[in-house]
Amino acid sequence: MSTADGLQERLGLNSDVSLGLKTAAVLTYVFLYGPIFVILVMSFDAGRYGLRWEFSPEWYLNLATRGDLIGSLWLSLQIGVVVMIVSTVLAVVAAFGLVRFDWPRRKGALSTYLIFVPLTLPIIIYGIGLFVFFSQLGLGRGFIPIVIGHVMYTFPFATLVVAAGVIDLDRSLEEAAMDLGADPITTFREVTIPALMPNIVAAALFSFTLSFDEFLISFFVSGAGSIPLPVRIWGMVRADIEPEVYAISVVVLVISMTIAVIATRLRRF
Amino acid sequence: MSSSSELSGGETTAPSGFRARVLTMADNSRLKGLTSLGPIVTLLTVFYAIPVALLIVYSVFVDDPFVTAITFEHFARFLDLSAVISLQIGDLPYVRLLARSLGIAVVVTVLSLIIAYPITYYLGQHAPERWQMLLVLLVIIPFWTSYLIRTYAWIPILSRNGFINGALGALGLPTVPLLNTYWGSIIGLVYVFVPFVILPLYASMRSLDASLIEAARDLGASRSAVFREVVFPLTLPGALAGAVFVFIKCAAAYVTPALLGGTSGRMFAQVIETQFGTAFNWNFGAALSVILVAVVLGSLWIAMRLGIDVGKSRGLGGGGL
Amino acid sequence: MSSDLHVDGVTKHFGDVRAVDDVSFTVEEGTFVTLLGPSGCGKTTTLRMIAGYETPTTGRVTLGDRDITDEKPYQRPTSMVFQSYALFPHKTVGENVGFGLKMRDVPSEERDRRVAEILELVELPGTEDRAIDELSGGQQQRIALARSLVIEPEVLLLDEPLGALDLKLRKNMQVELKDLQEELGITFVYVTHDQEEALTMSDEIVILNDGRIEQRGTPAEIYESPRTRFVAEFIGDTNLLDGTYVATDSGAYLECGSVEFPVEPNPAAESGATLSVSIRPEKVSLEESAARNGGSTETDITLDGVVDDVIYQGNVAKIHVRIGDSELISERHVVNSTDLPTPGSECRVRWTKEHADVLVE
Ligand SMILES: Nc1ncnc2c1ncn2[C@@H]1O[C@H](COP(=O)(O)OP(=O)(O)O)[C@@H](O)[C@H]1O
Ligand SMILES: [Mg+2]
Repeated sequence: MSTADGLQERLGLNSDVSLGLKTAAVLTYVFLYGPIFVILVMSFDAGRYGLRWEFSPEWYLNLATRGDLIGSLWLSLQIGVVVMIVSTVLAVVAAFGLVRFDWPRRKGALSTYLIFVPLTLPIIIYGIGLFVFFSQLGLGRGFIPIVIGHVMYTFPFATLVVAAGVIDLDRSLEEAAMDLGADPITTFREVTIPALMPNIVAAALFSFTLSFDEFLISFFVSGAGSIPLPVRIWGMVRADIEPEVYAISVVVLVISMTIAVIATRLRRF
Repeated sequence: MSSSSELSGGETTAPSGFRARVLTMADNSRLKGLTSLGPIVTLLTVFYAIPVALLIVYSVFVDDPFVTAITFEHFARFLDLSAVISLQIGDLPYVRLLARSLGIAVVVTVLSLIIAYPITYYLGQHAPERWQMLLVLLVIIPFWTSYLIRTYAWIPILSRNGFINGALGALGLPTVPLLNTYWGSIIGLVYVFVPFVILPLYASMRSLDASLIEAARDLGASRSAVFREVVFPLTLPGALAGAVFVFIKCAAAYVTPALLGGTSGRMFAQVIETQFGTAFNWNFGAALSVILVAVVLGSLWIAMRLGIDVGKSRGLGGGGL
Repeated sequence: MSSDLHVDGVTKHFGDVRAVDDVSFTVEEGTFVTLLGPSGCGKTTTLRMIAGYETPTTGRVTLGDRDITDEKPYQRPTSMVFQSYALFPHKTVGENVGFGLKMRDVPSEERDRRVAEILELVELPGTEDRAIDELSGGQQQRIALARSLVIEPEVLLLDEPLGALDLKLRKNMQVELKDLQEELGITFVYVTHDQEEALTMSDEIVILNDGRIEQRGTPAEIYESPRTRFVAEFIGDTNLLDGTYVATDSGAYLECGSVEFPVEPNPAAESGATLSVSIRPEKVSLEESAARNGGSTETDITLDGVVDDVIYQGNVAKIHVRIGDSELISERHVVNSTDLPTPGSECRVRWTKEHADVLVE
């Protein structure tokens, strides 16, 4: 041990430094969760502009009467489920395509770039592009355009999660299955897919939350009849904050956080 | 061994019909590759590449594409050469807006790095093993929840009679304008993007061999010297990977400045949206979009040329942004 | 019908790498054959070609009269035990062991019965419902073995199956595996880089080096009569004496500096060639000068030297003897450690001609 160390030890500086780090960490968590806490607090605040906070569940009760909000929540859930299914199936297929086959160098790289470009380009650009695209086709806005936009947006993430599993998958498991008499189809069904299940489920859950919370693409391609919840919340916030917005936001946060926790636990780090 | 020796040949019954056809197909690896990536590449081309390419097309026509004349007037409107030559910066509102957006992106990136270093150093090297998973999970969760909601949550915090100014008032201090200012945009963006730096940096901190720190301490380095000489250089790649990501996402931010930035915190993506939403000048909007994409891809290209492993941040996903 | 396994002129290229180079050998039905060699010599590749995971670039693999070279792994009557065990993590022990039977559409009652039987055989009865990750490494090893054995393969292929176990368990399993093979009479093709393991278990050893076969034979043949320098150095410890090989009608000699001694003739070596002779240390006996009276037979070679160093290793001791420019090691059992010679003392070493093996490169 160096003398400086000993000195610091004696002066108690050591614990000061880690205390400093700990404090910084705590402050960061406060920063991350403070606003979420604020939403929660506001959602139970009785007085609309009142100076004093008073507990009241009335905004939650009001939600039941807000057909527009319930409708949008239901629509977002439906979109989320459809997107989840399509995106996960595509991701499984793409992950195998990317990881398992020896592509001629150029073609492999090209499809990799094409799949991951959506991760880097600004989403607002894609939203606008899709809006222009569907307007040109005369298809306008609505459920199908939103689903298509969300699938393009979620499936690269889902592919990353599944591909990580395919890369980690022990090839000898599949070889062992074939060795024991399973043909490639049976092997895929009996061994490959079950072994990848944690990644596949995580990819599905991530696809769902990403779609459920997605705002920008929906903002450009949703139409009068079908407005997903985030777009509805945007409208409420832009106009003038209606107190129910906090309550419905808490509902959204609870759904996404639950899914995020489950998905993160499933994912292999 | 058991008596069923008819099985000892180890043969399975020969597959027939459709299954057999699938099996022979599965033998051809090129065919397998094609069936696995073909549909996806097609979908991406039709529903991703073409829509984005459509914007490029719009940007070079006077009005409706292929019907009206080809023109560069929309780009000229962005970069008015006569104004550039006469140094009338005031006559270049869109360039100034882009410059401000990039400036905000730089400030947000730097602030995110400053916030990310202490917490990741703590999580990666000092946090008790038992709590680590949970503590990291706590960083990941907001990352996957609606950024729209988490952003507007700042309205009651930053507003003139919101939580911060309320606290300042209670302390007898003067209130400060935060909501609908330059700082509103910055605070909101740092809040939304800081996990994008924390997660890759945490991965670097975690993989940093603790014995390197001990060795440096043993050789007489002070705590700050250890950080400067060992921790910082070894974790910089992770930090930069996250920083590049934050920069390009911030440069194109729309929701946060729209909700928290007001006029002084206005950013480039907002003016693009205006062209499609209220101004109905799709061609000019498309030209601005092309410029934004060029800036983003250019930044990425520069980052890669500088040797930053931009792929590092990608694997962490990116909740809703 | 005999079902000997023939590997016939098999070569395997991976791009520019020639992993296996014109390898031929026969494994008689019911025997235990080991492919032995250093890491990267092509053992796994050879085994995987027998199992069907790789297709030979040239050459054939036949089992009895049946050419299996182009058969899929799931069509071959072979089964493989993987070094990593490759147990399905999402299935129970019973489901793992019963997997091959299920693939063969064995009715579930018979399946259960045979699974129970084979679990008994590997001494893990009643573990059907356990999860794989509840088992220790040694137990997983047995389950992997059971999973392959239950389908009664004609040839069982094992790729360093004991590599992940600790030393003591490995020694036990070596004996158990060998007993099991003898009891079941299944052909085993076993891959290892551990020469001791190969000597302990095999009926026959095939030594591979750099994709080629160096030598094949029973453990005793391989150990006692190495034919190449590689084999002599790879298997056990040995003394190598370099010199010029002289073969005459009346016998063969090695000229080694100032000394010259008779050796067993080797038809593969040319007279006049510079080569090495291998003499195992335990074949070299050592007499201290004081007691130099042993009657020398015709085939005995004796040389005088000086004790350089004595290395005590418990049950044995290695005595380094300097003879002219070269050094020779004599190994002997230690009964009484005070009986060992002291460094510096004069001595005489002795061995018989049959124990001096002429090596080719
Ligand atoms: N799939 C492969 N692709 C390219 N080279 C390979 C492959 N498998 C093995 N090799 C090469 O072939 C040689 C023999 O490998 P292997 O059979 O695994 O050796 P061993 O099992 O004796 O250690 C090595 O040089 C190895 O790098
Ligand atoms: Mg090997």
